[in-house]
Amino acid sequence: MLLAEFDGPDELLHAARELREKGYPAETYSPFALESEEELEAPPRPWLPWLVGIAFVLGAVTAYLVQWYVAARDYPLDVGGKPPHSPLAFVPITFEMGILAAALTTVVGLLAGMRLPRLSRPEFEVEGFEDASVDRFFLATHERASATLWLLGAKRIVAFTLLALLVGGCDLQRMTDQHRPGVRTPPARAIPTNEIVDPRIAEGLEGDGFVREIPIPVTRPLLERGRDRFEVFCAACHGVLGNGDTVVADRMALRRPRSLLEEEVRKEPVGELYSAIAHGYGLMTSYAAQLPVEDRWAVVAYLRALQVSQSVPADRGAPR
Amino acid sequence: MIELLERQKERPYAALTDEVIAPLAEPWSPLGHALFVATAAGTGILAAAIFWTFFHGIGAWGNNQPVAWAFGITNFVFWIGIGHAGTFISAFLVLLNQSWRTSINRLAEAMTIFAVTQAGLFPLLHLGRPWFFYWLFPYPATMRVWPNWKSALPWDFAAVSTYLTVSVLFWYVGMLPDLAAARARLQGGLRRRIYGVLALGWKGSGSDWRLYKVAYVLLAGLATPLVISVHSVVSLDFATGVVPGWHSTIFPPYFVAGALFSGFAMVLTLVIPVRKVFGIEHLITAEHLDKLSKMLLLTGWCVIYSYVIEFFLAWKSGEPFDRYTHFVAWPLGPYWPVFWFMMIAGNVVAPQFLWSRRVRRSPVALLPICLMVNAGMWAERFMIVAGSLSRDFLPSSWGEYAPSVTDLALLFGTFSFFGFLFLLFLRFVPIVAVSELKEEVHAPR
Repeated sequence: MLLAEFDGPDELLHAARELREKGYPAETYSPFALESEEELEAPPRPWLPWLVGIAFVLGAVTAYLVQWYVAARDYPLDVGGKPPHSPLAFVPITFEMGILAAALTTVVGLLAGMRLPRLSRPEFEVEGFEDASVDRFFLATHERASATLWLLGAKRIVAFTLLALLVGGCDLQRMTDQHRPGVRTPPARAIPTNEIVDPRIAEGLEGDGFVREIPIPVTRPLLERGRDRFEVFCAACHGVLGNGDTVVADRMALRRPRSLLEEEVRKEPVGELYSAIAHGYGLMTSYAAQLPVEDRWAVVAYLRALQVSQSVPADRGAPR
Repeated sequence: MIELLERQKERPYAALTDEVIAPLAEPWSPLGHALFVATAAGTGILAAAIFWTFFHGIGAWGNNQPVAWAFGITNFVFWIGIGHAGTFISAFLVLLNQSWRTSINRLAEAMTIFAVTQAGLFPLLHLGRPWFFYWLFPYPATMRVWPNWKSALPWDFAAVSTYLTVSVLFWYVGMLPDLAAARARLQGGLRRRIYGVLALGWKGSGSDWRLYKVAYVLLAGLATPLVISVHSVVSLDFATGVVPGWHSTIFPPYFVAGALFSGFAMVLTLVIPVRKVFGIEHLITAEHLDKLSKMLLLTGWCVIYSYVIEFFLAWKSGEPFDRYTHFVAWPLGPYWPVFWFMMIAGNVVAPQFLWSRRVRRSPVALLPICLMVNAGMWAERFMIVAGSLSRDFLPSSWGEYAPSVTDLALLFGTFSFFGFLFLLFLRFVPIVAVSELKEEVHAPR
């Protein structure tokens, strides 16, 4: 699961609505009840009122039967000549016991419905989550929604897992101390994976061939993001410099991962590079699962920069 | 101050939270210390008076024949009546969607619980042999003794214990989100841990909030008829009796109106100093005082109407003893100063100043009015209990009642104990429902 933090209640509600429309689960966490959240999921759990109603009737009927049994059956007592079974005199206790049973049921039902009391939760291990009861607004959703979360304006995304509860038995595991695939600032105007219909962006295709220009704005954050992703996912085989000089490549003597600095690769349209990432190439598998659309373009953009930087003749490398 | 305003701009919800939560971790003020010691000492006096009552028996009280009920039952009715405004504010006003209750409901509910605690003491002590109080509960005893359901005592037992239970539940459920805020905001391991455990692991998810709102309205819906039933049952202690001054069908609604009236006066009595001392006049504003005063005026007129009907019924009944009690024994009998200077001055005259908007918004003017109403409502119950019993059907056995030292110590002691509990509340519980306030700030209704 992912836990994303949002600036305020309105942003949170907007994000929850958008995610649900796209079919993702979305659970909000807020310091106060969000009015429109209630309208979002009508009807709001109709079972509790029914339960409480039944409890009221059961409590009242039991109280009446006890009074009747005691006063009219087991030990009839003559008080001022009144009949042993005096319904009017039984009214107050009948009513009070109905209310008592109903109120207790309300509270027990509420706690059961909220799965409380439970003092430890995976969410609580996320740093800053305790302020969800003060002034911070969180949203839990599926991991695959990370790109969408950024687009919806999440300030921060933290992975947390229900598994933390199982292993958490050994020690307190602060999820923030661990590998966090999601903690980062999104590239400006990043493109979500699950919304793209434009084949130029989604597939790198234009007409019959590959696109020749990167179809999203190339910015410094995009390049930096691309470098980061490249060094995580590409450099292991292709090398940090993209020259294919790696241990992995040495072991794959029959068909080495190629140097990305070769003339042939340089001449490939960006769409083709994109396609190799998205669908794989030769022995290379698809990296679509690891790299969402905007990340693929970020890698492509960085690769282009790498190719330029690695092919500058020595005499032209002087600082300007 | 500027810093606070800046923070309010940056993180309005956090500033609001801290304003209520931060005092929980601050050291006691000298005033708080002094009041704490004073009320603790008063509570000691209560304990001593209770001990003496147990040790010596009910003879330690001033009760006699014919006045077999006096301070004990007066105090019981007085305290339980105080509680009613708290429930009314928290429950009934929720159902009516009155958002102004938000700033004062926690405080009013606390008042209810502590008042009902005091009230519960008196019938127990009055049992004579309080250690057999469980005889009120229908359990299969070897002696085959069952409670007598046609007596008002088991009704009281059922009503008061239900009332206390439901009030505590309502209070606690309403507090859960604020306890979670205290868990987040307070430094220091132990304090944080205690509030954490009390918050039960509240996480404030959307589905939690939805269920919570449903449950809260359900509890409010249950508490509203409950509060009306409780004082009706209390009034039946009297109305089912034949004593002149008791035997009247107006009693249940009359008592409920009186209970709300005295309760609103007590809420104001507590709110006025608290908002001053804690500097939360912007949370509990003059607007709140104004609304509470209007409620006080309204319920005051319900009480006046009840008085008129009560006296009218006594006159119309043609019963000489009924007429005598209402028109001679009360206003001219042994307790005439209590009748005129406390009951009439407090309940009929004092609230009329609330017609003025300036009075309603002025804490200085309101406080004496509320204290007069408190005294007046206590006096009303005293007149009904002791005033009626001292002049019943047999003029040969008429007799007066004077409180003993133990009686006075019990009355004083319950005020101290009430104050003591209320100080603890101010010290350890978020005194304003912050999560509800934040909701108001976000989307004012």
